[in-house]
Amino acid sequence: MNQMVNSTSIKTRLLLVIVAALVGMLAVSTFALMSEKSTMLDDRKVKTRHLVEAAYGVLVHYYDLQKTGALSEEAAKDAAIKDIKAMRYGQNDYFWLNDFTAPIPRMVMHPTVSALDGKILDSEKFNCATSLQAGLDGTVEKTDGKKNLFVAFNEVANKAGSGFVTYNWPKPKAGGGTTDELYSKLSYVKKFDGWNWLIGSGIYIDDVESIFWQRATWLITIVLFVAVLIGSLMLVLTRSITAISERLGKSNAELEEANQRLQKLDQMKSDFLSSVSHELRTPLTSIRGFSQLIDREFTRSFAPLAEEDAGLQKKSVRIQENLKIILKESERLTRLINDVLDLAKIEAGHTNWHDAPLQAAVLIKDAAGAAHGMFEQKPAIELRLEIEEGLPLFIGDADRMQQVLVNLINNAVKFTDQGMVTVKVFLNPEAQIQIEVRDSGIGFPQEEAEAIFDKFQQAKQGDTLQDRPKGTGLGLAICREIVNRHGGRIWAQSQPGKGSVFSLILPPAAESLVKTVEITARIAAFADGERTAAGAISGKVGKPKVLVVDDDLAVCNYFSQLLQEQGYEVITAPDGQAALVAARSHQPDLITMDLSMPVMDGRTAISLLRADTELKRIPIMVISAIPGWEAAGGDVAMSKPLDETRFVENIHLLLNDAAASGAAEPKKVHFLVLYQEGQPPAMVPGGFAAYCEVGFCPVNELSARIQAGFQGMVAIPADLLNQVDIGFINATPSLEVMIMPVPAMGVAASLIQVTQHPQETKQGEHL
Amino acid sequence: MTEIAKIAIVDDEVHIRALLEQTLEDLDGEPEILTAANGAEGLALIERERPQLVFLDVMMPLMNGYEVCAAVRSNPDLAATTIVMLTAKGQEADRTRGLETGAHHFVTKPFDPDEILDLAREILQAS
Repeated sequence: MNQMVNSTSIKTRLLLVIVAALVGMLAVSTFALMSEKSTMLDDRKVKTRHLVEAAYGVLVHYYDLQKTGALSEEAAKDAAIKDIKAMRYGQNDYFWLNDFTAPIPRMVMHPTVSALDGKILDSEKFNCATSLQAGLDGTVEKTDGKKNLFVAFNEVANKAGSGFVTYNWPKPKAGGGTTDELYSKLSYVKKFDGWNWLIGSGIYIDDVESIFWQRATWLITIVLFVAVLIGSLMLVLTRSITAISERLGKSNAELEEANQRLQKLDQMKSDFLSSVSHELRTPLTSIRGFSQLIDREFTRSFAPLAEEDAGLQKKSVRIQENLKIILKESERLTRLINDVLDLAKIEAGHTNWHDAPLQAAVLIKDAAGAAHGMFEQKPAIELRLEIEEGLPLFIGDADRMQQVLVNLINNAVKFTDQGMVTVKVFLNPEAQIQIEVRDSGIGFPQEEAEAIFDKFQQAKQGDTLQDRPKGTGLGLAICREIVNRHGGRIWAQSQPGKGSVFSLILPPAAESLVKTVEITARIAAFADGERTAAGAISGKVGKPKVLVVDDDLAVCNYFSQLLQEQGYEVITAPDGQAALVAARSHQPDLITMDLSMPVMDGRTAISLLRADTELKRIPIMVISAIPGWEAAGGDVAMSKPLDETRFVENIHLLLNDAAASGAAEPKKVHFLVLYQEGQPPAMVPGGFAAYCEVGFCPVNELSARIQAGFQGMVAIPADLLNQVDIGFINATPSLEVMIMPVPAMGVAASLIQVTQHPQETKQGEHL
Repeated sequence: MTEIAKIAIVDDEVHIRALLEQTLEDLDGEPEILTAANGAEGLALIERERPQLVFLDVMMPLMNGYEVCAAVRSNPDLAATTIVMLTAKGQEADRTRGLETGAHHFVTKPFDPDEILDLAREILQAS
């Protein structure tokens, strides 16, 4: 169906092209013919003039002979007349001579109408319409009345010595004599002063036209021939193109079918992998769990019994060792299953990527923190970070990029026994973010540098795997998939015994995103301004109280310790319900909230806290192991494992907010997001939560809000920009307006800062 | 905590049930451990016995773990029951779905028996 439509449309298009080409050719040839016609006439005019000049030379020649006395005047004139009478050119063209006598000239010689020779040319039949051009450049003067054409010749010759005259004259007949009817003729005449004669010659315009038409016929024939040729070629081409496109359509359909089959297979592969993974996990759980239980019970109850007998003790140690092997191997199998599933998911495109603007430096610090345990096990290795300042952001999934970096660092540690692991980030000459993980380990031959990124490939030494494989053999394949998905590239360089370098490059984020981050900073600065103004009034007394909500006792203790070091008073609650009770009784300045908890989860607790008029002002920091950006209704979201520095920074930030809230003035930037009524708001200021109190407002209510005294920031999605009456905002003298483009969450928007001057507000009161 | 704690194990795999049972025997106060081999049986058990803690497998015949979890959560009498889901996948989407249906914790198979023990201790202490 589809390819039929395609081939018909190709045919129509080709036919259109053919028609257009023919029309074009016709237009071009018509234009060429028109210009050819006028050039032909011009050419003939020039030729005639040259011929007249030549015949004039004959007159001069005999006149000179007369002057030298070689010929008498009579003889010279006769010779000249005889010579000129004999001169013919073209189809019907000749020269004539007439006397220059006034007022009416007398014919000296006319080669085709000899009856006129010696006659005064005063016959009325010579009165006709003429057009005169004196000289070569003289203007053309037309006489439509009855003018004696020989008088007209005289006029032209008198003015400039020579010139062109158009008039009507009979044509000479083939057998002698002249035709009865008159033809339009263009003649050139020139005055010869020696004998006071006028010599002239002309061309019949229809002669020129007939030549023109002869040529035109030729041209048209050729054009038509070429057109027919091209047309038929095009038709042949159309046929073959149609055939080709039909064939293409067919193979397209086949490809489509093959693609669908492949997709089905892919789906089957994914389903297969996920069910295999499930089926493998259950027996693995038993193997791992029971070997652990056996180990525990054996160590607890049986090993002490064996202590008395040396032989039994040896056996008991062996049993324990063997159990450890089962445990280790089941752990390895688990990792392998996880990696296979992970890679299959990425390859099948089933991964949910949580893209956000990221700082390479932060990621590297986080990854180094996560790999900390590895370095503790190998104290002979030192970790060094070389981080360039002021690198651009890039867009990516923080958890996935973290996975890549942790994997690279782990690999480096795995294959290094002593020395240094260096993680470096810098902007390379191509302005891309480049991260290098360098180690001083065993390295591998450079020929294997590509293959190690393939599945189940680890660098070999000789033909045997050196030692036993340390890992699942999928880590680097996963890394490559992740880096590729971020539009980057990963590669390795190494030499056996000289260590290796794993490098990856990532394209920096687009300018617009950098803008978003700038905007966040601007909003923060705006909020800071208000805060310091308000903070000055509200000097708060006593230690700030923080309520830590987490079901994990260890986490609670850890947070409490961190916060107490910062000089905060800490209360803890193990679940959402306990948190609500504690919040009411202690009125904390800040709450940190875990999301998944028994009795009442964090999400529910936050919505209940926000619904409570007394408690809704307490800032909430969500700390969750659940990946993703969402704050679940809190002000700031942080993920586990926790970055201590950022945790403390955010706590400070949120507490400053809260300190300002003691004053009557608002502590956050009021942030209005405009939307079209009936449509959901296009922009959600995700990263702005710490600074903004976000409200949503239909676009047509903006004026009312501003008149009601709204101050703060207005975010306008780009598609609404035209509908916002910025003119109105400007027209009010009391308002300071700043407009800035904001791309937020992928939607280009504008940010308007609305500030009201106090004195102008007074003016408003007058109104 | 004067009364004896009750823990329910809902899993269609007999070995997993055995493993969990043996693991939980180490808990102080010798809690009563109840088992069910499918979702429907599990829900009936939970409604009848009102355990403080339920270990709930996701993929089971008759009624899957999400359905059991949602049914338990919609029953206000069972508000004090903490649900720990045993997921074979450990995938993000499954976690989100589990959280939405009201599970409190997730343990990915294969799990570490010590992890299960710690979790159970903590939950029983909190209630």
